[in-house]
Amino acid sequence: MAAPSVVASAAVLADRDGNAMLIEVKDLEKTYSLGGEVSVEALRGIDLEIGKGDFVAIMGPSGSGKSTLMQILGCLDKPTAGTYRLDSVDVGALSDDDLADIRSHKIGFVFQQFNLLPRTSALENVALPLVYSGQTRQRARAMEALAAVELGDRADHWSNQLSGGQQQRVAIARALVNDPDLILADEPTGALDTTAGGEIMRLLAGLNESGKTVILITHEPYIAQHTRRIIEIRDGRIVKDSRNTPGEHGLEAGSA
Amino acid sequence: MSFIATIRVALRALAANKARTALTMLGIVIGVGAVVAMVSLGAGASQSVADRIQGLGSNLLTVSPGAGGGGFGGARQALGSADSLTVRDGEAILANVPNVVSISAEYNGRSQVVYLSNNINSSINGVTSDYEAVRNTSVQVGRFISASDVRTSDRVAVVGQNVVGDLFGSDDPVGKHVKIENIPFTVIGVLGSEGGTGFNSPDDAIFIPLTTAQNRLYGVDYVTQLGVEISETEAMAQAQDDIGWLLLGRHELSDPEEADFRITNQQDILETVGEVTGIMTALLGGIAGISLLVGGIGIMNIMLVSVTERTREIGLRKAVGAKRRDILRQFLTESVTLSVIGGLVGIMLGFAGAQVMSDLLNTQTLVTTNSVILAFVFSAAVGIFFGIYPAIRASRLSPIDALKYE
Repeated sequence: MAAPSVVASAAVLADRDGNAMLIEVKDLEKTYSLGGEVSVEALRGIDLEIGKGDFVAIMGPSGSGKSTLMQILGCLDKPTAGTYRLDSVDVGALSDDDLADIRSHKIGFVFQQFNLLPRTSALENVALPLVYSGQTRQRARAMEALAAVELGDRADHWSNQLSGGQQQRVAIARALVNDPDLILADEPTGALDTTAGGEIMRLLAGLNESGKTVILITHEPYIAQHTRRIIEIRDGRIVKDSRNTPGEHGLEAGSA
Repeated sequence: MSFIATIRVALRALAANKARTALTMLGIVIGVGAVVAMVSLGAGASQSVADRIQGLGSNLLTVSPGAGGGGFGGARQALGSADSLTVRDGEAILANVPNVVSISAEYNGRSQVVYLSNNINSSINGVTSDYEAVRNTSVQVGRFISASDVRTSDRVAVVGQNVVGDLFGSDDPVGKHVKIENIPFTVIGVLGSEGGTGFNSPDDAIFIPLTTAQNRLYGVDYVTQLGVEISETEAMAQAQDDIGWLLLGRHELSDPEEADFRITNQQDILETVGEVTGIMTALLGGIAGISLLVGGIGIMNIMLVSVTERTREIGLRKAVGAKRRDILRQFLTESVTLSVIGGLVGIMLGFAGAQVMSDLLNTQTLVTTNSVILAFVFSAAVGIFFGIYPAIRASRLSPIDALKYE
């Protein structure tokens, strides 16, 4: 089932040798118990390696297990079986608080519904992860992140005064602010029109070019076309894993 | 997450829903206000009792006839009508018991008193000249009964404040003649107001020389009470004992169980009264405390609603790195902030309530530092106690469940 791509390691950017994997997943299984005898096998044995600096789309229909995989990769949930090593750390052995630390320092999340705090300024939304990672210079760092998504002039706007595209850009700034290695985006364009969605994809691609590993979940093939590697999941297994040359059928040309 | 950041997050969350915050706080405000006001009522009563100890002469022992039983002290059993106590007993006490400063012998009766067409039934106190000193009282107008009045069984009278109004109306009583049991008396003075001390307030009595009462009015040779003034409070217990044994010997009794008199320590009685007002204070405070408890349940209710409403927010905070204790602290800070601010407002309300009660009920109220501190600490404790469960619930939410929550 799992088809570790040979090209994947070749595509790793400017890293040492075969040791440059950010994500190493082996025989990953996740079973949800729905109470009593009923349980759902969301993931049925996933083997996956993602190199540092890659730009990956995980695709699949709803119920395929792609969101579950995303949650485990994001250290929001623990696997039922199998191992997951993030940056050589075995995540399965960690406590909830250690996982919170990893999320705080290594991972930035972008959600479909933005998940900004209402009645809170864009700046403070961006600064939220800094509060929990105990960073100094919070305001300045949040301003830098906002500037990186070209929203420096909206810092004091409340999140609900911004358009959907702007809100998602604030969310990306929030994902960036702790300078994580990995950015996980769960259907980041799902709630946006194509123009705003294209803007978000352009930002994510830019982040990838600056060295971040970006993993994107989507069920839209034209969104996946922006990435360099497309993994398809069905019924809890990887059914296809292929390299891609980004930008071929993108909407950037239309939106720029 | 720093303490200041936590407080800021809590204040922001509370400010986001002002009406709800205000109503939740109101429960604590009323609870704390009620505790402070009610305790002030009890403390005020205790205070006025303490004041009265001073007013009655704190170093006073009262010896009265009747079966004492079980030693000399204590206020128990009904007043006996025994005729065992005499002026000679008083003289013996003054002569033999150390630390006795002075003694007043009294005979209390009730008689019909007539002034012109006014007619009242009044308490008649036959007293000696030492009464003024022993009972810590003094005349307002005229003079008190003198030793020579007593020696010659003069028909003179000193009247209490309430008697003046009842009997003389607007007339100046000094120099007027009244008839007690048809015997004419000349009023020589008016006693200053003493305030009520129960059923035997000196304000309601007429004072005449002891000998006049014994010989001319009632035809007895005994007294109903001996007031004994002791030099210092520390000597009271010893003096009480000494007087008891002296009187037992004089009355040819050997067993304190058979005593035909009782010795009452004024301070004991007032301490008992003080205990009663203390219980009253605790009771009032306790009842008011229930409303504080109800306010606390209100906090818990709102915090639970708030946790449910903000499930997504909790999920997001966890996703971006909040640990369990960060979330716990955040929600606990919110509930404690609610209750502490409510407590502060409640204390102010309590002060106002104590003032209003004092004015309306015409009683003394006293807001003590202790009651304020107690109410404040209690309100903060309510915030923690009723906030902890919702906060734990919030902290235990798993980030993915919370993020998926609609």
